[in-house]
Amino acid sequence: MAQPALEIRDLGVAYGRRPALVGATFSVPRGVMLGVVGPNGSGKSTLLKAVLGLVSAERGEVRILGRKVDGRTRRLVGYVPQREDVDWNFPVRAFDVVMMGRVPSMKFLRRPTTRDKGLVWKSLETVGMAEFAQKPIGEFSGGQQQRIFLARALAQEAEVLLLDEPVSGVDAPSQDEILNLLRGLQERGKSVVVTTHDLSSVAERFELALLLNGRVVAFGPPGEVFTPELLTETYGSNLMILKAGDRTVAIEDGHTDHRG
Amino acid sequence: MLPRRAWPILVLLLVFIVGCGGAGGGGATESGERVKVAATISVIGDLAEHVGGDRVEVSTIVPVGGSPETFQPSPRDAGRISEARVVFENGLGLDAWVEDLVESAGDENQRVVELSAGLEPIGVDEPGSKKEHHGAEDGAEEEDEEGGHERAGGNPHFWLDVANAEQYVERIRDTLVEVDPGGAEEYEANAEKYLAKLDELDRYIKERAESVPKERRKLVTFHDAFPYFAEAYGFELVGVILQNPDAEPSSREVAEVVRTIEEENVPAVFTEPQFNSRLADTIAREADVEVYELYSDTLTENRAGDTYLAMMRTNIDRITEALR
Amino acid sequence: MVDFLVEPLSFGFMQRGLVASVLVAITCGTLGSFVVLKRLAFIGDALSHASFGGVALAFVLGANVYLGAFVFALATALGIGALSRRGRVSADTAIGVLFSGTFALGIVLVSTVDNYTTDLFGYLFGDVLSITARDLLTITASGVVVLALVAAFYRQLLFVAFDPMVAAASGIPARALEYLLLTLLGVTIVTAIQAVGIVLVVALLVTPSATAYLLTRQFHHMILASMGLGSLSALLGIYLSYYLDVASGASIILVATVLFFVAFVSRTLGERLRGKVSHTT
Repeated sequence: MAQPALEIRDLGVAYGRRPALVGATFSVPRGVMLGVVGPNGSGKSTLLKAVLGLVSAERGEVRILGRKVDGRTRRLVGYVPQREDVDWNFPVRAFDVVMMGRVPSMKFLRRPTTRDKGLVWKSLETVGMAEFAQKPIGEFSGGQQQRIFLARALAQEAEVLLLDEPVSGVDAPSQDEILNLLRGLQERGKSVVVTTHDLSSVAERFELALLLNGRVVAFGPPGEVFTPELLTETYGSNLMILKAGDRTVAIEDGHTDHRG
Repeated sequence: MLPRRAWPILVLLLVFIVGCGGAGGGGATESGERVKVAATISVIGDLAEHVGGDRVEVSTIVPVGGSPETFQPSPRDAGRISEARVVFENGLGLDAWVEDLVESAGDENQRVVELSAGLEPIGVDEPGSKKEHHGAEDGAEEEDEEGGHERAGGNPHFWLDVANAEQYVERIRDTLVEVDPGGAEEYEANAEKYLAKLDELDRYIKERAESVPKERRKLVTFHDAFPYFAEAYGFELVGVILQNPDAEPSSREVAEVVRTIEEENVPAVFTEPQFNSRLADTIAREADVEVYELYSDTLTENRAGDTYLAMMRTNIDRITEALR
Repeated sequence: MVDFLVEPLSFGFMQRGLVASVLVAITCGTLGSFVVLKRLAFIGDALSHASFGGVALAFVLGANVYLGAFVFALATALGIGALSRRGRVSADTAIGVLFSGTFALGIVLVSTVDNYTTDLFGYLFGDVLSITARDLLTITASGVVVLALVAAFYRQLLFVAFDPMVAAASGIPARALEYLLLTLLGVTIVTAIQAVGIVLVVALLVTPSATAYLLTRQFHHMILASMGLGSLSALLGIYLSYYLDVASGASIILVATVLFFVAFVSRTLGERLRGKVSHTT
């Protein structure tokens, strides 16, 4: 039995005196898609950042692919954060951005090898952005940028992918494409962890769901954990669940998620 | 603690005391208190000490080693001015900052004496015209409209001609006698002795100057302090490195100085201790000549230049050595 | 015409000044590209003004002035990081406080050493005419070291500059590289002070790179263009200062600024003519 992709034990994170995450414990097997859901401020982004060590955890343990989180294990984790954190003025093309994914693996002098370039092209093709490789990063739409960053994570040859709200603020066709891409990666053996507001997609396409509200409310297959009681516990009174035909729509106070 | 109402009264008292102490000038001449004299530069301070002897207490504003042209007075200097009975300044722009100091910190009882007043200056022309009064040929001294010493009025470095220094001494003596008549005898005796030494110095300098062959009596100095010296002792001022003491020369000005040195076959370049010698080093290296240090606006700590007499002797000795 | 070009170069000090300025401009062009994109101009200015404090202190203590300048610049860089990380003051505030404080320290120290004011003020505006062969050697050596390190760590520096969070997440030592960048910036600034002086160093860092940004679309092109534009500014600036009898450091900066405006205007005109909308989102 291979090591789980992600093993979290009693993880606690606080920002100053405010606890953002308390006592999180769960284990994600390899080769699955996990959807992390919860209201704003529930600690979804914090969870991902804490796994990577980008914020410091007060307590708890994280194991990625059975190993402690250090420089070498980080190479195996591809992180795609929310879009806002990047400097769009930078004179780099899509190709250059994806090539950055190869940097952790490059040898000392860091000249791209043929293999590096090949991986970059392949990643761009996988996300459907190969024809725009020469375009400056600032000229893409939100959805396209997300795909390019995903390509970068792929070029990294990461085994585990952590994506923070990859489909929010992205046009609907791109949302679908991104989710299909992720499914394709999962089918090839990658482990994918996604934070999202889109309960429907999680319910339909993900093997596992994590309900988060400063702590783990529930963890398991969506069919089991997406119950009205657990969802209410997660979202408080801010959630309305509508069933329209065979689609489940979650409407959160202050956040609307429409699926057509 | 004191009652609250006492504080404003205390503060007022303090201001009053300080105010009174500040005004009222320097020491009285009765009962052994010395006459407080302020001199702008250390050269003048030295002259004043020799004339005044034990009856005066001389404080110099620009410290030894400092440059009067770029000097910034501090609050302590204002204090020295306010305490002085007599202020001796050079004039003609060398120590122009003292005017403001005297205005803000001085008082009416004070005597302020401009030692160069009435002396015939070199370089009194309209800005931009060629200077006629030099005994020397103009080397690199044209184009000195603003900046530099050739402002309206002329070059202030009179004391480098001993004859002018003697004039300074006489004025110092006359002022002290006026301000402190009780010491008239002492001042006149001191001045006479010192003037004799200055005469001797003048002869010494002329003698040594003559020992340098005429065609080699060419000077390239760091700033324009030596026209009176050159005229009095038969030297030619061929070049000046720093035309304007406030700014670095441009690369072309430096190149011209180098060229002048080469064309006129000048064997040495002269720096002064109050300036950074890097520029002179560069020029000397470029023209392949020696660098010697002369004293001009200030005395020094070391014995070669700690008095006016020493400084002038050292100057002519070094010049002779350099040019022979 | 040949005479025109050759005449200033007939002097050793002019040759050295020219070479030094070009070398300094090349190094500044490299670091400057990072400065412009990472908005480090204010920090750069702070480091150069902090150097003045270091120069004055080293002078008073009789130590090597460039070492003093570098130590102060580095300490200020670390201080800015420490102060702003505590969270109570913004980086902007931290920079402003340390910038003026260290500079004021320099001024106070200078005022206690009356005899050498000209000496120390030479550091404020550059002293390109007094560069000795030995100075040239140090300038070359530091330039080589800086360029070599940037080249060796280029891809990592680029990743960290573009996207520091993901760079750190993927295992790149982002914090260490940021310190490396600041250190190289300190070295570059302290070296450049000899040519253009403390007050204008930040211009030599920013202006040629800003011009390059207008003209290029890829980062390594931007760096190369900055180096070229900086060298051109240095060359033209030195010649201009010779023939027009004006300050050399400032002439270099003026040429660089003119080049910037030429690029800016021609790019704006070019876009208008082609009916394009500006490419930044």
